[in-house]
Amino acid sequence: MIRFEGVGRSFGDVRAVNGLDLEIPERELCVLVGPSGAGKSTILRMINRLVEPTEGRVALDGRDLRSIGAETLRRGIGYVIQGVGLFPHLTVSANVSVVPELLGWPRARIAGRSREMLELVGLDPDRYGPRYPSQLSGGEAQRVGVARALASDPPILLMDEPFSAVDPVNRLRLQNEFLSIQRRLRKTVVFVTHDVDEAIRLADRIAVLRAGSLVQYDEPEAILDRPADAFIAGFLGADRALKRLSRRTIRDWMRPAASARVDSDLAELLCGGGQGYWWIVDGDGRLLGCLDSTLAGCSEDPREIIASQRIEDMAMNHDASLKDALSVMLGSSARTIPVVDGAFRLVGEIGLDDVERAADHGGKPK
Amino acid sequence: MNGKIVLLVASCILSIASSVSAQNASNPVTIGSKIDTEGTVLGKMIVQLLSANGIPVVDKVGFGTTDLVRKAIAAKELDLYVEYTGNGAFFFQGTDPTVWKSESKGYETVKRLDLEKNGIVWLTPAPANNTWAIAARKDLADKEKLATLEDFARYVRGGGKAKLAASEEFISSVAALPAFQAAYGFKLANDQLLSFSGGNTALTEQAASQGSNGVNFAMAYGTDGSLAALGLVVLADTKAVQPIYEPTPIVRKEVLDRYPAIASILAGLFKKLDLVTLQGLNARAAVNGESPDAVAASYLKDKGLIK
Amino acid sequence: MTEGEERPSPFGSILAPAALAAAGLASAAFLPFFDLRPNRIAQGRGIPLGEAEPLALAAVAALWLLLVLSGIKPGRRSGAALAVAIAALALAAAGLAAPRLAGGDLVARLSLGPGFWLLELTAYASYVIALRSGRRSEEKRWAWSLGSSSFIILLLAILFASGSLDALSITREWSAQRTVFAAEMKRHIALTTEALVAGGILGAGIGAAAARGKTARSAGFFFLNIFQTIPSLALFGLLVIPLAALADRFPLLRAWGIGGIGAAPALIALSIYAALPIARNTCAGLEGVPPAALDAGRGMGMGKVQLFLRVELPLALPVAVAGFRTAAVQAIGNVAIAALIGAGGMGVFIFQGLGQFALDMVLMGTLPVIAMALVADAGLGALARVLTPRGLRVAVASAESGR
Repeated sequence: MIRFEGVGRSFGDVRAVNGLDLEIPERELCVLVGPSGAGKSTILRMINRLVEPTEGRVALDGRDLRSIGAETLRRGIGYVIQGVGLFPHLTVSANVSVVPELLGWPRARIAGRSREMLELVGLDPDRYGPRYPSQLSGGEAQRVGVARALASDPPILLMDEPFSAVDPVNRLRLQNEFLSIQRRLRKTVVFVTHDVDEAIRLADRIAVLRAGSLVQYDEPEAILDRPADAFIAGFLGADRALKRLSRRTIRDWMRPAASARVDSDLAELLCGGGQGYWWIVDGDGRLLGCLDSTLAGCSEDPREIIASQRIEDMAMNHDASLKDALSVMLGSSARTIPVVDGAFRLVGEIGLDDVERAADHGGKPK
Repeated sequence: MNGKIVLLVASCILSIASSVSAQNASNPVTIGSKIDTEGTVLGKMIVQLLSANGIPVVDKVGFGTTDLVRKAIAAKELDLYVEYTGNGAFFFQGTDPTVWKSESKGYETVKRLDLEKNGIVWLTPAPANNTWAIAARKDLADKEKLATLEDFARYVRGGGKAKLAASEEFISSVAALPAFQAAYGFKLANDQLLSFSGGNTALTEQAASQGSNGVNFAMAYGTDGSLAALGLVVLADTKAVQPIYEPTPIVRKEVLDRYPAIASILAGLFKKLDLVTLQGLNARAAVNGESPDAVAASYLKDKGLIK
Repeated sequence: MTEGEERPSPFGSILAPAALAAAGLASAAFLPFFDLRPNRIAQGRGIPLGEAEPLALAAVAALWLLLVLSGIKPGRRSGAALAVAIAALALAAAGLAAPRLAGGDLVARLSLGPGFWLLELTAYASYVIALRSGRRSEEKRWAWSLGSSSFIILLLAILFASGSLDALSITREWSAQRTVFAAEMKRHIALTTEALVAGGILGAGIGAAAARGKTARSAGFFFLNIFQTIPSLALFGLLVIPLAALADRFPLLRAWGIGGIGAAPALIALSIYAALPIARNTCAGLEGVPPAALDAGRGMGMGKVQLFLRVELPLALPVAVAGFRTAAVQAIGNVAIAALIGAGGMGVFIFQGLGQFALDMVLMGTLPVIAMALVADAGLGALARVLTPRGLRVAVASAESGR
């Protein structure tokens, strides 16, 4: 557990950090967010003593950081920076192995750990291990950076705008993959970004900073619901409600769906006289299409209807966010859309009213 | 940061110091010479003769220009080298110029002054006058019957085709060409002169020998060895216009006191080095390309001075 | 070549080789290949190759023609080999004709004339062009250069050992001064090495300091640049008096061999000259280390020393060695001038030769200097390559191939 007590830092006349009291609990991802010059990076670098406070103290599990040797401290903390900082003259696996080597691990263990870390970040160790940093793309390089930071299995991970230099498409992928890594490893992560969306996506807790001071420190939902002042409200953006939705997963808010197998009597559904719609699935449960008796008449060939649909455009993966679901609903002008798993098997459906419910203040999933 | 640089520079100097080899075994005599042919040959002779007589020597023959060698002996870098009596006029200001035209007077004057002022002893000179001269192409001299500078003056006054290759110094120095012109009554126009800046006689003699740019006369030194080989003859300075330059070994007094035998040993050698001998030795080195070491050794052996 | 580039016209690509061939052949045919003088300093007469070895001239002409023709087809593999053959043939012709022309007469002097030198020069130029224009990799070019220089050296050695070159004036000059030559060669190499060691320490120190701090940088380079602008001979001369005075006051220095004249002033000046390229490159090398890597390294818990040894040094070293290479070539040349202040070295022959107007003696001093410079350049170039970490070589290669 990392605690800042009355921490201040001046650079000459400039007050970079002002009277900071902050407690970062173990095993949580805490995001420091704020506009440029808010002091986020400075605060982060106080944790591994790259910057020393001019006032106050920083404590790690109750011990003042100054009582721990700087190098010893840093070898126990993972550090990922925007520029990645891979050593150009070392191979990818050598880069990953740096801290374990500093710690004097036996060779075999280092080699195994290096492979493990590369796999963790989604890089094939046989293909990427012998490569050099100059042969990597931006996204690949930063994955190696993360692998390197985790190599010695440090309890704490410091990340300073690690994904900001990556293009938006890859940034999203990296964020998602990092989230899944974090869910597995449960490290204490302190993450700096100026991107509000990124903060909301990733954080267990957000610390909003402005001009060196802590303005609000709470869970993302709480901040989204109740921004402390107009500045934060503005910073969060006018689409706060939508942002809230981005934290909700479809899986938590969907409802069961009625389905019918494609080899059953489909015409019966249309002509049966009932009012309703059915999702049509194949023998394995994979979604093929939709039949709506209010829209299609008895005379029409159900198979033709299904064939002419583009059900892939409507179906959402159950791990996607409600914000994406809403977007699809608006795009396809369907109030209810099917929900599928990774194999495209139907697992439920979700409707606009479910989304509205989720958007309610304090709404909890069923 | 500054301390670092000072430390580095200091360590540099120390590394230089330790890497330059020390030569302090048994106080040897450091023998240098000017970098020209005659200097090198004479220098090698001295080196070989002295070491054959049991005096430890360090061979720094072929050291540098007159200026440098002079500085070296003053700075005690060199102990002995061959200098020319006539140069006393340049080393010591305010001497009577006529003194240098006399063999004995010039020698006595420079010997006295150098010992008084610099603690340098002039030993026995060689009876050869290695002074500035004008040499003519032999074919031209034969045709026009030119043997002396008087003949040359007559030839020039009579409108004969003449072009002289000479160094800047020779042309402008009051003691050189102007002195000749004044004494013999001739004047060379600008287009009759080909000037080399800092030229030495090898260049000027080559020019006359090859007849480049119409040159048929050249500045020369009395003992130059290449004259005959290049087909040139020296025109005699019958009026003794030029100061006398006799090659003489000069040595620092402390060193002479330590090895007094040097004086007599070198006297035995230099007494015999007349103009013709020196020309011959220089010719072997310059014309035949024998190494000065070999020329020196064979001469000394010939004369029975070494085995 | 990548797609989209125009195919060069076959005639454009043979323009240069054809011009060189014409120049080379003309020199061989019309300019004096030899110069025969009755003695060391008299004027000589020129002997063209056609008179000395007519068959050789015909062979050279044929080879030049083949070289030009080989250039028309793309892929010039034979061009380089033909150029080497021409150079070798010229040497062989010299070796064959020399004993015949001047073997018996010990006073006469036979020199190689402009015809020979221009022929060799044009052959070398053709070789370089042929090697460059092919699509060979860096490694293959190195192999070729190594192979062809070894071949030429071997040829020279054979000619020398068999005595064919004895009749040449330059060989006779060397013969007459063998021990002196060996001694001065040793001194030249020693002086160069000492200057490079001292200059290396000074330069690396200044370069490292410059990379760290602005004041050190401007002060250090200011100092070095000032000295660089002073011509070497002038600097040697300037150092004589203060050093002599110093040696006078502290006789201990004289005992160590430090005085106003000789090796000491030369070494001090040479070290300062050598220091500049080394300092510049050390500074550039250190500054070329990506700052992100340094930040990451510190953040990971590397100490200052470890950071230097493991990150900065391997990345900066190849650049620093390149600076050392420049300094070495410069130093070898500068040492030749140091002969004028009594420091010895190959300059002794250069200036004695100049003084006596014996140009072959000058050559005897100059050719070794050129050879040493070439060897140092190639050797240190290879060293720089070897010291370049694979990661950087790969980066350069992928940049070159436009990945």
